[in-house]
Amino acid sequence: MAGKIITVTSGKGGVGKTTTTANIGVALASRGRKVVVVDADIGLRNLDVVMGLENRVVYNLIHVVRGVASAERALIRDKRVPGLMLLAADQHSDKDDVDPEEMKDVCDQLRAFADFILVDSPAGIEQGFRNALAPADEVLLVTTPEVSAVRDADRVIGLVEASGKPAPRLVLNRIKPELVARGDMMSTEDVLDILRIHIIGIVPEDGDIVAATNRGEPVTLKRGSRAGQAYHNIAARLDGEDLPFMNLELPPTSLLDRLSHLFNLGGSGGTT
Amino acid sequence: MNGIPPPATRELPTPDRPPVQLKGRGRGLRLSIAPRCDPAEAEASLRSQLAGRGGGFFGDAQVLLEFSGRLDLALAQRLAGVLDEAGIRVIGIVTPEARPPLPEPNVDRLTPDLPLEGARVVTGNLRGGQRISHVGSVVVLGDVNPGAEVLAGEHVLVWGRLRGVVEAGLARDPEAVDDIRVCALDLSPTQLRIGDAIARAPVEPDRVPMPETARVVSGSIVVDTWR
Repeated sequence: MAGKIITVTSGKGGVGKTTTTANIGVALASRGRKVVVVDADIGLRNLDVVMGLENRVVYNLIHVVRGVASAERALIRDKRVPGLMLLAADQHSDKDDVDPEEMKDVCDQLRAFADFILVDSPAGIEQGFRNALAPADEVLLVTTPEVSAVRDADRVIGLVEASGKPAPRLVLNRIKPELVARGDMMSTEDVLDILRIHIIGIVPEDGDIVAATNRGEPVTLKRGSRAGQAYHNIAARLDGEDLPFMNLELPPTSLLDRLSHLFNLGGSGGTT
Repeated sequence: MNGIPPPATRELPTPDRPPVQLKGRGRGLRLSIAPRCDPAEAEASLRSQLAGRGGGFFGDAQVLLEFSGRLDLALAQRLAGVLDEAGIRVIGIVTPEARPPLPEPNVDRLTPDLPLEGARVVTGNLRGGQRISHVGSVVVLGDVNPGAEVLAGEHVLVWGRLRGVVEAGLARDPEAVDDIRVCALDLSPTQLRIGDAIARAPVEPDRVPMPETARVVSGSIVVDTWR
């Protein structure tokens, strides 16, 4: 097996890199693929917590880099999803304790264990980001439809391209269709208009995510969640399927709702 | 530029020479473009040369556009379109380094032929955090995104959307920038500086993008349609 290394990054923090990595990992594994998710956010481990595997971490990335444990020993197998494995970050080291070459070396070892190696990059564009970028065959860029997140994403695209890697593919996270419809949120088109890269997924804002993350159960494990469906679609596209994008229009409202909406619009029309 | 007599220094294409010539074989090609050639003739000539070499022959070939006269971006775009159809990718534009002295810029004209010889040509988008600086003019064949900076000794021409920060005419005395131009297909910079004059794009949500050119008139930046 010679797995493909995909780094998930964003520039700005808090846009959902870790959640995206965990959920795409679960979705790929549930398609029967072998997946290793790697937490490259050394010093601030998160991925194991989000995936609910915190209490099973014995060895981590630093142990593999230092030769304390083999990659095989350090991998934690997720019992809920066969084929899903985690390589955790070390909380007691920091980003400068690993260099890009070492990171590349570890990820290359992991290729033997999986079809996909997903590397969860830390926020920012410093050493930690460079470590996460070094081994990547492909980059997924996560952003939310906010001006500051998009600005940072643009900066990251420039850095990825300058490193000689192919342009990242975009995951647009936390889109709220009703705000976009009102013109209060950047639309997918607005974001792509600035970034000019290919998009691989649009993930709607979903309250299930918060609940699932806090329970350590990636939302993709749950049936009927819209965000979960979006992650399954991204996984399918990474796996080479050509899927149409999800319809993010609002669910149909009742006639009464629509009528009152119309009247509201009419009423406010005079004052704005 | 209609109705304006061409500068006296122009070179005329010799009648026996085609306006464009595709040179080289295999994947590395050069397209030499005669000075001041007619765009329609150039396109026709290119098409016939491509046809003469046979359709699928090119594979994923790459071509350099070599202007022996002034850089004509509209022509470059047009020829790039034709080449693209044939599966040939334009990887760069070459302009002559040493040029005869340029005619005095005519400030009455809104869009003079910018003296772009020796310009630094950037192909692709300039992204946030990226900065390009050059003692002469800068030509960007792509967008200048918010957060990107272009610093030019002379003019700036953006064949795309200009939304970053631009400083033009840095090689000039701040009092002598009347002929400096900043042109873009969509001129909405975060900030625009020419000499000592500073401006930013007005907030117009319903603005329809159109090619515009900026210059300094008695110390203030004035924007006109780029024709």
